[in-house]
Amino acid sequence: MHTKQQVRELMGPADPARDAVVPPSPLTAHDLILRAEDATATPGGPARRAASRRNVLVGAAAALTVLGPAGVAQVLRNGASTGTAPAHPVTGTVLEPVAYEVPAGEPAGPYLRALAARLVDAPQDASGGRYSYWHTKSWGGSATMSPEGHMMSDVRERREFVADDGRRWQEDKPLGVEFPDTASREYWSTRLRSPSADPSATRPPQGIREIPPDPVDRRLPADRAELARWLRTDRPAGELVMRTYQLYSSYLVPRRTRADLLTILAEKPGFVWHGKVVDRAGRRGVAVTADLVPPPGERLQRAQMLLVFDPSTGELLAYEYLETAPNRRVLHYLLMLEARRTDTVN
Amino acid sequence: MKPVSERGEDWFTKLYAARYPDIVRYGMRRLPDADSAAELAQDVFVVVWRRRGEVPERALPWLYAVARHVVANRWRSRRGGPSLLTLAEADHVPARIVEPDAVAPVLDLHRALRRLPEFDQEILRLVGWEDLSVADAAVALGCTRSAAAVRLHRARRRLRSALTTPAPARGVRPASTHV
Repeated sequence: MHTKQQVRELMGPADPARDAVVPPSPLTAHDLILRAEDATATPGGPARRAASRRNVLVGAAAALTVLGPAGVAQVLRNGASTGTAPAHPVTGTVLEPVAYEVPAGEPAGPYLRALAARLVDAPQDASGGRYSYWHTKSWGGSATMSPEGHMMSDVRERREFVADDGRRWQEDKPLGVEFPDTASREYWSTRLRSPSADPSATRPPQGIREIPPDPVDRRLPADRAELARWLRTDRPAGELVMRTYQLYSSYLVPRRTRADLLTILAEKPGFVWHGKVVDRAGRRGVAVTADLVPPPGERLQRAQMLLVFDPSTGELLAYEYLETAPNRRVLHYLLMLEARRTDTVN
Repeated sequence: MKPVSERGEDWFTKLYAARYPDIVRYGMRRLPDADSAAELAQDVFVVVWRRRGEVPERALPWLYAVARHVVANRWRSRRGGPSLLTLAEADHVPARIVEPDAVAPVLDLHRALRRLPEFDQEILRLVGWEDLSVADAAVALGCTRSAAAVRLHRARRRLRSALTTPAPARGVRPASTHV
């Protein structure tokens, strides 16, 4: 086979940008010409850099005027925005895995079926309005990893509003750095700059911005059979955890669908019941986990997906992705703080 | 070289509209976040306007050459901090990879890639990810076509070798994040 083709086949699956959605630039061609000519006229590197930053903000405002809110967009990867690597002083928390009431666990099926049978309405079931609204807090979605494996990531708070016609608005707020272990915190402590060294650290909060419509089909699976197909129940339990997380991130899930989901998970071998837990937002919930099947060549590593459900309403409270061996540590978490309908984007 | 007078705002606007996404993706493959990639693309097109007389008709490989220099310059100037880590020092799993089983092979490839010399990494990325021909990769790298062909062949061989050779013991790294 030709070398070029071999390289493409080898590298292609790992391409971080192959399916990336690149919305239009917030700066017009004219903005960039002005910036280029401004830079030519401004001697000195640092001054040019500062001018660039100002131009970004002014350019974005100009685009907003000319194009409307849709013209101001951030670059997304499959709809998930990624933030800049943090430039905060390193006082970040070292994350502890959620403590389980039943550490060893037992098959989750009977517990999930019982939970499904006693669900009550959640506040979202009675909410109304033109927009679906999610308020989440997550960590690990965009992480920085040192060559030695020391990891660092921002906690990000997100508010997202989606209209029925697919238009979306989003506010992202970085809340600070957290680490999966002490070694990572010590490593990055010696390498992070002061926040003032990075212009992005002093950038004013962007507030709520309209972002490109999500290509995802916003129609909730209509019945249990369709939901089972949507969840891909033929795949391993660990992947169902991911799909469960995606379900709650994409839809406001009504009580009947929540019950269907729990019974579908109950039928899937591989889910383990861990009883009562308290999530990172301090809420009481019940936990199930599914171990990930280690891929060939990764024998040393074991990982686990965790779902925390509200014990009354069955809503998803939290999702976590943990390494369980050789170290037990958190690699990603998401807290679903609020999900409901609303009439206002604010 | 084209006279600057033949390349006005219309020419620039068309080139910007056509190639901005390519340069953002180039940045996303080498920088740790999408904001940096968008800034990189803006910086590249600032250079394009200032050097518009030099831009060849087939502009993309030349644009990648500019982007490569901009990334290198930024990295040098910000070496003190992690906000612009090159891909060689950051694990980024493509967002479309949500199946946990699929994450580890991707990380393996990234880790094998970063064990190679920088030039090997870049020619592999240009051909494997930017989908350039060997001749276009040579333009982006500022070398001859035959030199690029030889280096691509060697780089592929080294990458395969790195994938099958255990990494030096530096502690076990976790499967990185996804979503």
